[in-house]
Amino acid sequence: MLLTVILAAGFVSDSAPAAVSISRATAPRFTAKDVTGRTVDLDTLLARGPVLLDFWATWCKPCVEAMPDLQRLHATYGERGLTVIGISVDGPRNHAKVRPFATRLRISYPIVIDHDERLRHLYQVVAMPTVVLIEPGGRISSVRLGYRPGEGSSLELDVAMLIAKSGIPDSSASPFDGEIIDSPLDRDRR
Amino acid sequence: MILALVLVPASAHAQLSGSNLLEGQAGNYPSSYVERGPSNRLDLYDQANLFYAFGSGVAGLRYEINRNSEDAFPYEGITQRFLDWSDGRYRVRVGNFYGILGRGLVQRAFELNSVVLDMRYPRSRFGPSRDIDGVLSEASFGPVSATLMSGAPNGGESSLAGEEVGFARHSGHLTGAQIAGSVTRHARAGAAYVRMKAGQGQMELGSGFVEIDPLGVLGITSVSLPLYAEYAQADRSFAEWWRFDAFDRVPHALYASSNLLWGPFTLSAEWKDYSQFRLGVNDPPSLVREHSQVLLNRSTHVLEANREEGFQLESSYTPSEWASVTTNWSRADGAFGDRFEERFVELRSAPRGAERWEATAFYDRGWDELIAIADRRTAGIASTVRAWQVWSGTLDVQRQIARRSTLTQTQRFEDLYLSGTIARANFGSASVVWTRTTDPLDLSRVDPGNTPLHLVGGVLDARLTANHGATLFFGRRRGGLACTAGTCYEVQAFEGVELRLVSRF
Repeated sequence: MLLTVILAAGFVSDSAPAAVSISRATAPRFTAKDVTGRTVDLDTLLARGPVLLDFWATWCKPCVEAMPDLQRLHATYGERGLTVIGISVDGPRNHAKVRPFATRLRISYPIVIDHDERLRHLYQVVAMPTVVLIEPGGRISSVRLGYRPGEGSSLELDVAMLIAKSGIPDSSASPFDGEIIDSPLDRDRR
Repeated sequence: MILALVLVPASAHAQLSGSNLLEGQAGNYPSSYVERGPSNRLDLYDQANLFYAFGSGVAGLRYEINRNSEDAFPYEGITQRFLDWSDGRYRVRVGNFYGILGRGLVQRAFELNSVVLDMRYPRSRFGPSRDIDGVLSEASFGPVSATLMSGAPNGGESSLAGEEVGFARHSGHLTGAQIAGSVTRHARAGAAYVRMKAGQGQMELGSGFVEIDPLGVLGITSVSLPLYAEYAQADRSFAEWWRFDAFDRVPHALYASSNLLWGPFTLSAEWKDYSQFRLGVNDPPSLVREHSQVLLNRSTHVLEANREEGFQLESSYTPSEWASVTTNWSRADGAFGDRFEERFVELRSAPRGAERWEATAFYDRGWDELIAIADRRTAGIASTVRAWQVWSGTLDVQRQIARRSTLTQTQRFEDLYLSGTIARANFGSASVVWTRTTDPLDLSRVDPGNTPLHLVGGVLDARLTANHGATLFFGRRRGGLACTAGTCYEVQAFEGVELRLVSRF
């Protein structure tokens, strides 16, 4: 049965590979609101540079361990076009805690709560955390499942290469610059 | 569905992708000696998800299969399928879908991602999902958004094998709608309605909610004070609903939450009042902290939505990147004067974004009269040290002492948890987990009594390629409650070897 579906889908999509490797697939487009009410539109962000999506949850230890690395990437490459978006997959039991939690970890990139699980399903998240790096052209550059301490370095290499390849000039204004930011870290930066 | 996939027009953007979760076990449940069966039972569970994206649409299906060496209640089949179409303003999904109305007081359809549960009868394994099989439609017009849903809800407690013995996965009918509008980006209000038919009975639910950050509305950005309140009633007319009755005789759910974010200080406050609101296919938020610490996670309080009121206060103070302190105080009072209460404090230090090391220490004290736990104290410390950029070691030690008091006896028991992990970035990790318990009611116990029970297990985890990961468990795993993504479920004790492969393609 499965084979039938795979073959059928491959047959009809003659203008695209039958099974596109996930690392080269087109990132599903979405628009969502972050926890401060700002609109996060993937297309708009991609026009500025690469986008890094981090699917995380407050109860997930490896996710919390990964967040300082992502914050570092946001601080280092944010002005060079990178946008980091944290997508919390917490259920309603933890919705009220997501924003304070991110503030406690000194996270200043936008956090979106995936209320209806739509984003998690769109990106086929099967492990926590899952980090998806998207090229400015909209292709998925890499997907990382899980996190172990030290993996931020290789992710940074991927980001740096992508930014170098994109040729995005420094000081590209982030759509989130000057907006509400709760982290003391960002106040320090400003 | 298959036809739909085949008939979908080819386009330059069409692509097929998917994920797969394969879990094989050789072993048994140590506790259930009555149902134990062969000592090395083999079990294989696989869940494949396929997605075919084309233009503005996505078609997908989930295929689940479970086989075992006893050849008892094997199953295979398509457990979900959908066709989803959306543009900037509209979305229509036919087939299995997930969704939430308000904060989920009256309806929330969800799944427990990557969780595989054991169904005791008929004994089988499955991925728990509370999806709805029907139609979902969403639309937004500027600041106004609307949702309509209709279909058969899934209780989430049965595998496909259950249907062979009369447990229908999707049963009854649910129709729901929500309309919400934003005045500014800091203020939103809405209302939801649900009509639910399960078995012989029918229930109508109405809910209204408001979300506002008054300081944001005033243009103040240095401090945030977002507030959320939702009030729902069952089987009441609109005029009655509008009176906001919160008496016990009125089936209702009242939930309110607030955050205060002021520089390094944060506070989250939640309050609940639930009466006769156990809906069968939905539970309102429990307002009990979901701990990541193993011994606390399994000691959680299970919500009794038929009658429960309480609150949860959580604060944190992060004076510098070197340290933060988090406190939590949760309380829930039940119908018979039974009280759950928990006080938790955690200190965390992660200098320079945990570049070299990080450490946490916690202490928790609580009791839960609903399950006769008169006193429970838990403490622990965990630390991760990084070396040579790619190596890290983690040590996690926890101890819990508890007293269970019933009319006839008092039991004192102790739980110890110790785990050590060595990990190499981009490669994998190896862990050893040791648990010792004297709890006479522990699910992992084969023989009655309170002699110390030792459970030792090892976990090897490897990133095989960029899109494939493997986890091998061997030894004994403790049974009992576990919570993931805000939902608690019972895990069966296990003794043996388990291999899990996760893939994306």
